[in-house]
Amino acid sequence: MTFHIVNWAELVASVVATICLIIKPSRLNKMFVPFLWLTLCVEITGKLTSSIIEVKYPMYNIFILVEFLFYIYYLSGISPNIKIQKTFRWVVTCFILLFLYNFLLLQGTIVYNTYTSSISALMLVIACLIILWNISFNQNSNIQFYSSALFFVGSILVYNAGNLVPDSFFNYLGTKNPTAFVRLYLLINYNLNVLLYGCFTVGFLVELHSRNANKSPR
Amino acid sequence: MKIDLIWTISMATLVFVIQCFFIIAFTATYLKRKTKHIHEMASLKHTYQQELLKTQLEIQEETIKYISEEIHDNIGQVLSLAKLHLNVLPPPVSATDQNIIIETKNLVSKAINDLRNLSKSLHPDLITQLGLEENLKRELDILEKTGLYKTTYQVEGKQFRLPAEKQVIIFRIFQEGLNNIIKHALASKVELHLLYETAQFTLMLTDNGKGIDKPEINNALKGIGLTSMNHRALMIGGTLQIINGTKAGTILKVTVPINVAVD
Repeated sequence: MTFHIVNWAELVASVVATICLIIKPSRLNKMFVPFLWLTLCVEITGKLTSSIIEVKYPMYNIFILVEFLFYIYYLSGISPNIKIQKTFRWVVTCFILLFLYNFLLLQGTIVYNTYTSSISALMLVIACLIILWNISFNQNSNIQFYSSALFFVGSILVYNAGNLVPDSFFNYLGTKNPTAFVRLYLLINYNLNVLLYGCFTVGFLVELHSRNANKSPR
Repeated sequence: MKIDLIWTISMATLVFVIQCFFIIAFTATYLKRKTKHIHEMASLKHTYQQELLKTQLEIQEETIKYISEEIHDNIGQVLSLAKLHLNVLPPPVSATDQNIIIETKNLVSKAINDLRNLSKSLHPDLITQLGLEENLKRELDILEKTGLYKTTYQVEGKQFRLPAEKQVIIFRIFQEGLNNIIKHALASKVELHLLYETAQFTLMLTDNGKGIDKPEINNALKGIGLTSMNHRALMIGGTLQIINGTKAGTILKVTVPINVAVD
């Protein structure tokens, strides 16, 4: 098994998150540590079992849900607006129902749930835009220019916006011209993954830096 | 056709991503401006409050100075004149009258001395002329002379002369602290500890009185005396702390950063 650049990016992000968030992390940020290690585990398990088990999509399908729940939990946590938080709870409920319907009845467990991933990407893009709008124009928002939250929200937005188009065309092109499409899909996905985990890493370092800056005497 | 579609997907993805970058850049710029604006507003507010505080204290000092000069020049002179009159009185007939006149002379002399001391302790120019330490010692001496308190004075570190403005303010805080001890503490012992450090000067006024509870401290902080002390400390960039003593009593701690120490 060889480690791809994406796996290295995930590993670096996980290690940096563990180091940076080991002492007094905020309630929200500390959830990044288990999430990132889980992501890495899923990727490595997928790689290891690819030669043994042909069908590894059920694991990825469930991971779509985990990923969505984590990102919504994070975005909801940094939002200063209670209305948005309540709306996000409804969105999560609807998404879980959609996921279950697709996972059990529509696309099934064996194939990659592209409908779920497309809807997840779309909802996360909208959620990120709402959050960015809200933290910019809300007077009560305490998110600063140089803060980890901006790196996290920004990277989640770019990652999902980038994945939205290929995910939406996944079924159509996957059957029409699989070779060319898989190559294109992987190219987009790998680049976005590297960007996502790179931004996460920078975000954790920013968090550590700002915490040290606040701690040190003037 | 399929290649066209793949091309379209690639372009659409790219456009989406670029749009997102623009949104993030806009948000970041907006947040940066917002943060700058908040800092500017806070700085302006702080400057305004400092100016207001400074003006208030200047007015207070001017008033105190006026009272001090009035005591010295007016009441002091009147009493001196009264003493002079007592001295030129014809010799009394009886011994009782003689005793009364001597007693009156003593009382007038004491009043003149007390008022002179009061005038000195009030006048800001005299405070700076004499120096902070001398003034503090003098106040402690006055307290000790009442016979109700035992005072100790301790200095630590390499001594330097503080700027005149800081001397007056620290002395006023000390006076108010001493006043609080006399009024509320029921103490019998007062300790003054001065600590000279390279970066800061600390004054600690400790008593062995009844002490003060945390809710009492909070209430006291709303009062005029402590509020005024706190304001004075803030004006010279210092801090004021009221701490409960280890066994009993209260510690008043004033810490002042030293930016311009005059050797």
